[in-house]
Amino acid sequence: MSRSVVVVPSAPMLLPEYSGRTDAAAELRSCAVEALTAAVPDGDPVVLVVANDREQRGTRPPLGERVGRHLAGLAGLPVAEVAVVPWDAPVDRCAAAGEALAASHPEASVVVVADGSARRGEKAPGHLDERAFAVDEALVAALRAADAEALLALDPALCADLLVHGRAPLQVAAGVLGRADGTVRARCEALHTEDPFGVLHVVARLTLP
Amino acid sequence: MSGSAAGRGAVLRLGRHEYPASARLVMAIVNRTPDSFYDKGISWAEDAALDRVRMVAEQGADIVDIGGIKAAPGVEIDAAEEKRRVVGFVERVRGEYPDLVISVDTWRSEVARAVCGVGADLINDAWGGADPELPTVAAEFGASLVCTHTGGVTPRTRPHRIEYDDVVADARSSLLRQAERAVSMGVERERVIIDPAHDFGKNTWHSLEVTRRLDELTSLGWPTLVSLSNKDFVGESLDLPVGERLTGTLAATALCAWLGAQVYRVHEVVETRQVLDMVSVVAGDLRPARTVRGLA
Repeated sequence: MSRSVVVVPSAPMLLPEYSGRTDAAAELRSCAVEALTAAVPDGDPVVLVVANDREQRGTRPPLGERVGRHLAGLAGLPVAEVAVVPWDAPVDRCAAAGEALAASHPEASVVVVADGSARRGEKAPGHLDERAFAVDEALVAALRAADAEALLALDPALCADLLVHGRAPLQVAAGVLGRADGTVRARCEALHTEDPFGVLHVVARLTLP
Repeated sequence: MSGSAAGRGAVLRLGRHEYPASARLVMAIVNRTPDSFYDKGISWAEDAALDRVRMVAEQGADIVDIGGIKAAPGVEIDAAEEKRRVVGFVERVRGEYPDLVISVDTWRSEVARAVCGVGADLINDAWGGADPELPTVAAEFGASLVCTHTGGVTPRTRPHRIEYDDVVADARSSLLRQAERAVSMGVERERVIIDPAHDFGKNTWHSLEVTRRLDELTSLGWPTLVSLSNKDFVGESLDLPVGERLTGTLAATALCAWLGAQVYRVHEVVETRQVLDMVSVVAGDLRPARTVRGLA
C-alpha cells in the first residue's frame, strides 16, 4: 500500500461558517477534496499536520486544524491524529516531528495544511512584498520535485516576514518524506496553485513508495 | 441564525409563494393613473406601465402593486373606469409573468373580484375595509389581503385635525379586528397582512410614532406591510419636496426593517432592495453576498 502526503490550504474561507451566499472558495475546496479522495481512495484514517495560529485571539483550535478536519470530512476521511506545530518552530524541530510521525503512523497518509505567502499583491493581506514570489516559487518547486531537502531549506525568518503560513507544517512533511526509502523517492502526482486574493493557495498530492 | 426581528412577523403566503417571518419583500408601485403624486402619470399608458413592471421585475421586486386610482382627492373614478384601468392590465402582466406576485391597490370588492378572476394574488386595501365585502372576494379566490389602519376615514380624503389618544393602540385594535374578521370570512390566516398606513388618517406626528413603535404591530403575529415611499411624513420631517425624499424614505425603511416589517411598498426598487438586504445581513437573517476579506 502506498501512502500519500497531501497539501491543502488553510484559508478560513474554506469553512462553511465563513461563506457568503456566493461561495468564493467553492473551486478551491473541490480541488482540495479531490486531491484527498485521490490520495486515500479507501477512506483510511489520515494524520493532519497544521501550524498553530499566528494571530491567536480566542480559544478555538487552530484554523489549520479546523480547515483540515473539514476537508478530510468532505473527503470521507477519518482523522487519526492532529499534529500541531508552532508556526515559527525551528527547522530541525519540524523535521524531527515529521520523522516521529512517520515512525508512529507508518501506514497513514499525511494531510499538511499549509499556504504560501500572503504578501503577493497590493491588496494582499500583508500587502505586496516582491520577495514573496521567489520564496513561493521555491516552495512550489520543492513540492513538485517531492524534495524534502528543498522544503527544509525554506528560511524561517524570511517565511515569517512574508507571512508564509505553511513553512513549519511543510517542513514536518519533509521529515515524513525523509523517512521514505532512500533510493526510491516520493513523487508529486498533482499540483495546483492559485492566488486570487494575494495569498498562495496550494493543493499538492505526493505519493511515497 | 436569529435576527433582530425574532419573535416578530409571521409566515406569509402570496400566490404560490411562501415566505418566512424573516423575509423582507419589495412591493413595487405600478400606477395606472394619470395623476399619482410621485410619478405624475409616467406609467399611465398601458405599455408604459408594462415597461415599469418589466423594469421592477428585473430589479428584483417580489411583488408588483397595480393601482388605478390615486390615493389623494381628485377626479372621481368609478368602479367601471377603475376596472378599465387595471383588469386587462393585470391579465397582461400575469400572461408575461406567471410567477410574479401581483397585488392590486383597490378598496372596491367589485374591482377586486374582477382582478382576482384574471390572476391577481393580493388585494391591497389601502382604505381600512371601507368596502366590507373585500374579504369575501379574497376568500373566494384564495387571495391574500392587506388590512390597513386609516382611523376610519372615507377613501381618498386627507387627514384634517385628527387626533388619537394613542395612534399605535388605535392601529393595533383596528388591524387585529380587521385581520380576525378576514380570517373568519375565510381568508387563509397566512394570507392576511396588516399595514399601519403611514399618512392615511395620520399627520406627520402620527406616522412618526407608528414608525418608532412599529414593533408593537409586528409582534402581533401577522406579517406587516409598510408604505413609506416618498410620503409627506418624510417630506415634513426633512423639509423636502417630492423628488428629494429618497434618503429619508430609506432611513425609515431600515428602521421598519429592523423592527420587523416584512413587505415594503416602494417606488425605488433597487435602493430599497439594498437597504433591506443590508438590514437582513446585519440582523443575521441573510448571509453576506460574498466574503473574502481576511479569510483567504
